[in-house]
Amino acid sequence: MNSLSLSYAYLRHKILSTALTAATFAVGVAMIVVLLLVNAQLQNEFSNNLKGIDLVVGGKGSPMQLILSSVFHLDTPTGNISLDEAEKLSRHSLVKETIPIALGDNYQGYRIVGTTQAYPEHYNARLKAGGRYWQKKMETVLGAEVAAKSGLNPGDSFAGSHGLTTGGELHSGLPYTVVGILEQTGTAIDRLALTGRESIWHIHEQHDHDHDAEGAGHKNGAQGHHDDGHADAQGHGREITSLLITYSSPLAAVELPRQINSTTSMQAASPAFEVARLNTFMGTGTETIKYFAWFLIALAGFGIFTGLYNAMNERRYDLALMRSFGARPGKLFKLMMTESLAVAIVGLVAGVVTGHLFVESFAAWLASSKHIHITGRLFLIEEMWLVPVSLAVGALAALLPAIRVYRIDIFKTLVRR
Amino acid sequence: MDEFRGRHIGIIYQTLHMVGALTVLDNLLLAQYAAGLPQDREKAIALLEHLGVAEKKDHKPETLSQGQLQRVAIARAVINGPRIIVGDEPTSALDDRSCETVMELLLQLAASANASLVIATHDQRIKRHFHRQITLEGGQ
Repeated sequence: MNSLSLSYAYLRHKILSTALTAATFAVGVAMIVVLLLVNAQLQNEFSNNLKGIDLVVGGKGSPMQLILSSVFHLDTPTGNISLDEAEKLSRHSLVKETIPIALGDNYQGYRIVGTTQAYPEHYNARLKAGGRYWQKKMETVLGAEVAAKSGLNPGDSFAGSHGLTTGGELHSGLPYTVVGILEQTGTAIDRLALTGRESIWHIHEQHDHDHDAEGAGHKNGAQGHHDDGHADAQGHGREITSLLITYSSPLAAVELPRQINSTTSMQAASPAFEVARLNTFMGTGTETIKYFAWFLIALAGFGIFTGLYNAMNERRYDLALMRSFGARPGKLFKLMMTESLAVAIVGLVAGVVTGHLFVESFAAWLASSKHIHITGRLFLIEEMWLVPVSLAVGALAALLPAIRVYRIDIFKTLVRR
Repeated sequence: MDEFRGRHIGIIYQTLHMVGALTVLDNLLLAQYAAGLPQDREKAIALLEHLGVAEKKDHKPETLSQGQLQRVAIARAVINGPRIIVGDEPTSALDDRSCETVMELLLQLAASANASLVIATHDQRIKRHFHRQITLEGGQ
């Protein structure tokens, strides 16, 4: 017999209250774990998408909308910009790299993006074996999620539909051919179909001609804005949705956005700034949940405390008896600490496991319905903090009852029963 | 002081104070553990056998009868080989026959351990076993 086996015997004797206390503690820990995991991974996906994009230039409108539509591919675009102006900007001395984004169609809700090879390369996307990038019109490379969900392989073809959401008119006369599939990148590219800008222009020129033939004018419809290209025979007046820009010098941050916003009909928005703004909106929510989780942990600590305190009260006789058998107060202190810490550790382990399992099961749902990729199979350094915090809570809970044991009057306790 | 008491004085309480969370055997080992003495299972089992409650060693105290508990309490009081065994009304809850058995066991254990037996009681039945008596009269 030692303090460990003795604690075990006592905890087992009161298995229900032990389990309840540990469960309360575990719920608190699990909530913290879920918050840490989800937060870290969303932040990570955010920063992955933002990687190296200093500025986004698009049509006038909400800067937040521009960033969400062009960088995260979540919102509808603000409007088109002229290709000529965009190309002029590409040659600006403060600009190092530009990536054009031309939206307009989708395939099963996945956006088809007209761009250049610079786009996947910017995010270090790699082609899966057997694939290649597009070389001519109507060739496309699929992001990992698009390929997995649609089951399309290189060589297959599909028709895009008009607009950015499902249900638009099918461009069945001009199917795309899949020529490559990208590896998972953890960015928006995973859920895009990439193609050359020419494909988008080509489709919509044809499209417009069809409509013209029918005598029906066609302009940006209910599906939201898109690139019709509207090129004349010489190819002038072509448009793209937006331009992602990487600065060549830090100086550009001061110079370029102001210059664009004041001297052109285009709008420049800084992703870093807009995301920070977004975080201040959503941050309140996550902060609240975080405080709530810590509150739960504190509550669980308090639960351990009351549970232990009551147990100790009931055990006055046992403890006094042990004293009368010669146990020093220190020995009883150790016993109570062991008991409390054991509950805290069980709660901690159960909470961490539950938290990860929860995120993992939640992840499947998020991936299918919200296009957000998180995993429960990830351990963060921050989770390590839960260990000392949990142990401290456990120790604190045992402290007061333990101090009372020092003051226990053996004689009175044993005789008064 | 605590350990001195634990090692040299064995106490039998009027209300026996068994630890409900532990088995009978562990209740004996608890006395050794508390006193900081090595835990001797063999000795504990032998003692329980001697007192006729060995078959209950893995049971919780709540399943034992009062008489059986009394024996366990005695075993627990003597397991550390005390110099003095103190009994607080150890027989008051017992019928005449059990009372005799308990006294016999106590005297026998005290004799074999060469320990003094001190009993505080109002039980007239056991008076004859003691050669020294102090009677408290007329008061608190």
